[in-house]
Amino acid sequence: MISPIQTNFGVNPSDISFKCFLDSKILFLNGSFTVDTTNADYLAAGVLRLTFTDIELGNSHEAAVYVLNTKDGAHDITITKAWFEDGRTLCVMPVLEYEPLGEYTICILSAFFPKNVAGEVSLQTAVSVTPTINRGELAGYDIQYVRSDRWAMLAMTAASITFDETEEDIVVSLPRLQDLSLDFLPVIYTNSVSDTYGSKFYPAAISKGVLTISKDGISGDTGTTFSKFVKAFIALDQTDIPDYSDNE
Amino acid sequence: MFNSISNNFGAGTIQFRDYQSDNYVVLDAKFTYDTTNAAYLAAEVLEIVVPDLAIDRSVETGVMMRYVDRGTRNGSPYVSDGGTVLKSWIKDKNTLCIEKMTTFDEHGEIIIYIHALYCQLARGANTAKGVTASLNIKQGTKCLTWGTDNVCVIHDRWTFLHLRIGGIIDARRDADWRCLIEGFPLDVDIDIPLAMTYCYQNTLTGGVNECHIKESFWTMAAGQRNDGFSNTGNNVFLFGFFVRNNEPIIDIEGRLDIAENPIKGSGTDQISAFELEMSPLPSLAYMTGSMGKYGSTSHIVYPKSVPERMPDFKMFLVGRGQTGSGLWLQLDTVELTTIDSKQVIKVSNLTGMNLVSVKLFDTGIGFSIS
Repeated sequence: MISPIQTNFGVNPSDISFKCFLDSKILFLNGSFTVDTTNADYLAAGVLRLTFTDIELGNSHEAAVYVLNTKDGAHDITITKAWFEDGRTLCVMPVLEYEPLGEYTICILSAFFPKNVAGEVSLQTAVSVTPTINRGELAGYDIQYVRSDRWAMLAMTAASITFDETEEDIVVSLPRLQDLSLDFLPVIYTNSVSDTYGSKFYPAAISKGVLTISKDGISGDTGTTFSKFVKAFIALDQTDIPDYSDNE
Repeated sequence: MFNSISNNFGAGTIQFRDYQSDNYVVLDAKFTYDTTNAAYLAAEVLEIVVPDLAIDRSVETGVMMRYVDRGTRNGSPYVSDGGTVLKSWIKDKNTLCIEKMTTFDEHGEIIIYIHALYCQLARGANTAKGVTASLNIKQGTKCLTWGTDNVCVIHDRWTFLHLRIGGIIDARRDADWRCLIEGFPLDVDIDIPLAMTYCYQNTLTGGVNECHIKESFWTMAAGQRNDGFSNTGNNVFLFGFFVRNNEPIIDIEGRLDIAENPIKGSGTDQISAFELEMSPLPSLAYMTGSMGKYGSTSHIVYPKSVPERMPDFKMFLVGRGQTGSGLWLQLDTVELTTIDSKQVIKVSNLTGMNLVSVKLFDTGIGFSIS
């Protein structure tokens, strides 16, 4: 886990921590922090900056990071730009549309790499996952992941998800991902392109390869015809590549 | 960046931010002079001696002058800053000239804003048209409406911007204003004169206030606005060429990058401000671009060239919708793939919507399409 040594938007840096995997050319970063949009430092800041001592990445390309509004039981979500400048400063573009809410949360499940690099490309392999659905219903799904020993990328679409009448969550086992854990990831859906604060999300988590999607007070299936989806880069703690040879 | 060597109107050293090419020069500077200074009084044209410029004479262009007029009227404070535009030109390689206008000398101190592009005089050249950038001006609590005739052109080292304030929300007329100009370069940090029709204290010309742009945020404090600023019909605008505070990227050999603005396909398929770069290990890729299309779930565009070592690949990106609230999300795949022996880029919306109206600025892991 790493923490910034400085922020410019009124949040104590020691209250922020990220799980990360970093080598000389890539950074996978997981974590979140909440900003107070009435704070004078926030209003004076322009771009939000978090300065680290233990990251050196160069100037990176932008990556999308999630922006959440959870105030008063809301489940609104959009994205904003984040990037590294001067090697060790994470920059996040504020979301002005969320400022009237008084606060919003930046949730980073992203990968960063520096601009202007060259070399021989070695493409990764995406693996399709057929899940075991333990509780609730997941229909019309497509789940794909790419993984290394220190990071993973998970992308999922589902035509619909349905909670059992008496249950508060959907539980899905993801074969081959038994060592994968993540405290939070949003399962995103769109009711209307005109919704003031963007899309909606169900909060979800992965524990040792088991994906749990929480109802969290949302009134069941939204009835939208648009697919639900997940996209996340996940930094891993362990270093050993699991042996999946018996699953091939 | 350079400093002036001298001037003939007693203004002291003037710092310029510059971009210079062989047939034009973009200059930014802000400085003041004292209209009671003997040197100013003796000058016929304001001349600034500068280090060698890339051009030796230019056509005339405009720079703004502004005076500050604050005080009390009938017991209430007023703000009534004014000014106008002055002719400016490069006389020779070392002399920048500004028209002397004495109309506002009674105000004592005059502020000059140079945000100008000086074109070489009397030399032919091929013309390269600029491409207008798409701006999206955002506000927290809405305080302004912006005109629909805004224009922005972004060059590698400078940018041109014209913005007009279309109207003011009454409830926010006395608040400090802060807007994010999404799409404008982050590396411009500048004080800009804001011109308008009214100047109550001095009806000779319009009013001129000052606003700021830094990191794409446009700001203006309430106390800096002229009386009558928010009146209907007070056409308020800013206009200028601004040098970016950046260094050009010198591509390293073998960089896996495609950048075209716009990149086109057949029919209405097109992506604006497109860039795609791939990192070798572990084949992370970045894509940025804006596109809009209804009645289809994909765009296919044709890059003019693809780096030799960039393989066909596919990746997942999250994009932000451009219709409706402009905040909703969609999951997309981006593929560099070969169709009929030609590499194309295909962006597909996976969420079941029959449209691809999205702004992408995300990284994805590139994996083999097979």
